[in-house]
Amino acid sequence: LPGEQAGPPTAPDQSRLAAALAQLGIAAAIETDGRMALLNVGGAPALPDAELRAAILQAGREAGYSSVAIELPEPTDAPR
Amino acid sequence: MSTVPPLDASAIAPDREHALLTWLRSNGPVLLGFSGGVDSAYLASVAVEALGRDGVLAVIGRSASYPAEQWRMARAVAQQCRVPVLEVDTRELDDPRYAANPADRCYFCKAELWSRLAPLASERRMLVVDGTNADDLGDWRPGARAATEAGVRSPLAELGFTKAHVRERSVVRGLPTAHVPSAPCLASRLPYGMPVTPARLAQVERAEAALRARGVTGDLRVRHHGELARVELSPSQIDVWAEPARLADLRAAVLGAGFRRVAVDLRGFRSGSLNVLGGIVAG
Repeated sequence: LPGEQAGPPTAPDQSRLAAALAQLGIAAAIETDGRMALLNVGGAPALPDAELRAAILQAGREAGYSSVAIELPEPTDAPR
Repeated sequence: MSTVPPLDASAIAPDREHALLTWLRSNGPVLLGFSGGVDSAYLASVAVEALGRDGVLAVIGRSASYPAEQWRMARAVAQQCRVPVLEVDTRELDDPRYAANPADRCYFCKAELWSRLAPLASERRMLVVDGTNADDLGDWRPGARAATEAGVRSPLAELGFTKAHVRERSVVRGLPTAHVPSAPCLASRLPYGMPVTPARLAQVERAEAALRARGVTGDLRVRHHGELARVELSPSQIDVWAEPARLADLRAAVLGAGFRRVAVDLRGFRSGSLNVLGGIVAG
């Protein structure tokens, strides 16, 4: 529908997202893929609870991202 | 042509079903593009009631774009609805315009499907119909243009059936599809511009099947970002899979399908999320 066509989206701002995540106590390496932010928090991440998820997604939106995903790294206790 | 007057937007589902029966009796017999999903199963069930088994033919289009599990389910649903079934192979992957995966990819897929169904309908003097509902009209659906060009009618959409209406009436009819999640084609997991290949489709199919086998329920999409798989779960499932041990299991399942990296989307499942992430529609 014409009203749903995206205008030029705000360009994702990785630095702004990193700062917002730091305020939430999250240290993460960030990659940008289109309008998705991919976070790598290292170790064996748990997914945040609903409240923190909402805060992260809000931080992502304010930084120009449509969504935020957490990468699942190799478990640190996995056999090499 | 239909003699059914348009319904008020507030009309309740039983009234809509009555109108649908009338519509089908006015326009049948019908050849139905059948996926075995919520909408086409409901339409098949009502069509058999309106027209009898001889007045309906459900046609399943088979290609690598749909998981084999869906064909199995489509056959089972058709059997339960007592609707005759015909299976035809479609070859959209042979069309370079489809395989290039442009934003209007669905147009080429549906054009191929309807080109296969039109002669079958013509031989039988049937009207071609599909299960598009009123909610579908608000999404980015270039496939709808192919249906229009081929003269395919969408009685559910024409009569204002939303997905909620279809599910409500499916419950009343005891259809096994009443609560099943939507299941669009596997190519919808690939971002536009990433060529659609049988190998990539199979990768997505394997990953989703592996996650289902490990107990993931509800809506599920494994989005293909090259070496990275982005998993979209329903919000309640995000909580279920939140612990590190379960995430490690989820990761292993997806890696086993041939991806090298795995991520979980914190926003969870969204229909058409690649449209949003790619800037096709606003998010």
